[in-house]
Amino acid sequence: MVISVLLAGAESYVISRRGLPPQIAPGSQISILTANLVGAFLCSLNAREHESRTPMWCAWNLLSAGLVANASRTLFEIVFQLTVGTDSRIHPMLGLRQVPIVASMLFTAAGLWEMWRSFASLGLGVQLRKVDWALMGGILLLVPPVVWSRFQMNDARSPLVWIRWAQFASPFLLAISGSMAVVLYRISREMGAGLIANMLRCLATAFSMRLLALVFTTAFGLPDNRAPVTFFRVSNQVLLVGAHWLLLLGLVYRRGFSQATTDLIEQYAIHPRSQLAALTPKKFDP
Amino acid sequence: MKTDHGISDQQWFEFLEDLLPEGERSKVQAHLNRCSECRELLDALLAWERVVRQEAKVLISALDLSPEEVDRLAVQVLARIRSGEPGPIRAAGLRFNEGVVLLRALLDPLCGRGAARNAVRLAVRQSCAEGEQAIGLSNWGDFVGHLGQAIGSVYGLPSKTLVERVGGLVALEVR
Repeated sequence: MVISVLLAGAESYVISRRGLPPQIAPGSQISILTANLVGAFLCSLNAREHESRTPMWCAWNLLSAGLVANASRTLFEIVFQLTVGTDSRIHPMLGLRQVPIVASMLFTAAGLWEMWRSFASLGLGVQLRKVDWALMGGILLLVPPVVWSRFQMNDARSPLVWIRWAQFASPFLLAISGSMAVVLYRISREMGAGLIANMLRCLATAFSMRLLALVFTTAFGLPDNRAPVTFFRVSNQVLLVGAHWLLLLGLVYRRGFSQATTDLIEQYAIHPRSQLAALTPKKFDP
Repeated sequence: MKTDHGISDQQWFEFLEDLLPEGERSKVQAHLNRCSECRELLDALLAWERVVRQEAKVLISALDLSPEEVDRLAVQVLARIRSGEPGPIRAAGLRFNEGVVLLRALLDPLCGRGAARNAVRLAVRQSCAEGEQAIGLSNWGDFVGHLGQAIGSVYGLPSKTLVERVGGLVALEVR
């Protein structure tokens, strides 16, 4: 994860200093593609551990679908940029990437909602604090500046109207995921320590980073090699790649939880008494 | 009841189930190394155990019960057997309400303290209106079932299996 983020930063620095369009970053895109595909696989493994049609089963399947959609968008961009070009004003078909982008955000937001529903059944994340509402308000406040400066974003000048509308919806959809991230963070705090709490913190941070990256994209999207712009553009790329790998790290924590549970089940089957004794040493001591 | 060779029926049962403490297990194993009669008895017991397990599988498939229902029934049956048998399998000295605490101790590091507390409260509420102190032989199976369901719905089926397995073991240890 650290190597991927550092490479993305270095690549973005070189691109920015040479005044190339920021959309061309094959190293970062391959890195994001890898993280998305592995993440989608881990999400589907998680879904298999739940009874069909329960909220958590829906959550993992929706998150998996969101990652697949994002991976297909990245693959589409890589192929298109290598073969045709990077400007959707000249190549309107490139704007089709907005379809998987919007689909990914919708799936992700719905997945996080279902995840919240599941945790809420245990009474977690149902009572938000003032600071949570303030954070969600702060996230929503980021949307208007992004909308006003949306012409800096990909496909904002696409000749296809529906592509421009899909692009217009992106900041709103990302704000929903960002707001859900605040709720996930609250759940992790209520939960306490543990691998699942770690997973939730990773997910919450990852979605917040993606929103921040979108703000940087709109603010510093034009080709420019001035030092402050280079700094923000490198930060943007680091945030974007880092967010995808942090999400993957969260999913690895979740797999770690499954492994720990399976190991415990085996231990209780092989050494039931010693395992019980470990839970209540005083009761079992001779 | 001790046999002529100094190994009781209970010890044979626990030896087969791998429930015998290490010291006693070593003694039985040492005796088996030098007593051909007991080795034959052990072979016969293992053969019977295989037959019983096989028959149990046939019965379970005939009853068309889900693995979760089988686990819950097993907990209830074991609890009933224990209630009619004053001599404990191993004198652990746990009570049912202490079993609730024990299950929380199991879930705390795994699921997080807050989640474990909420899940246990929810399961107690669903299985016993009088609260945790009133959890006993009659509603232990329900409590474990509800707790497994609550944890499993959020953390997945392996965690549900873990809760039900440990719940079953606790049912064996309570008095």
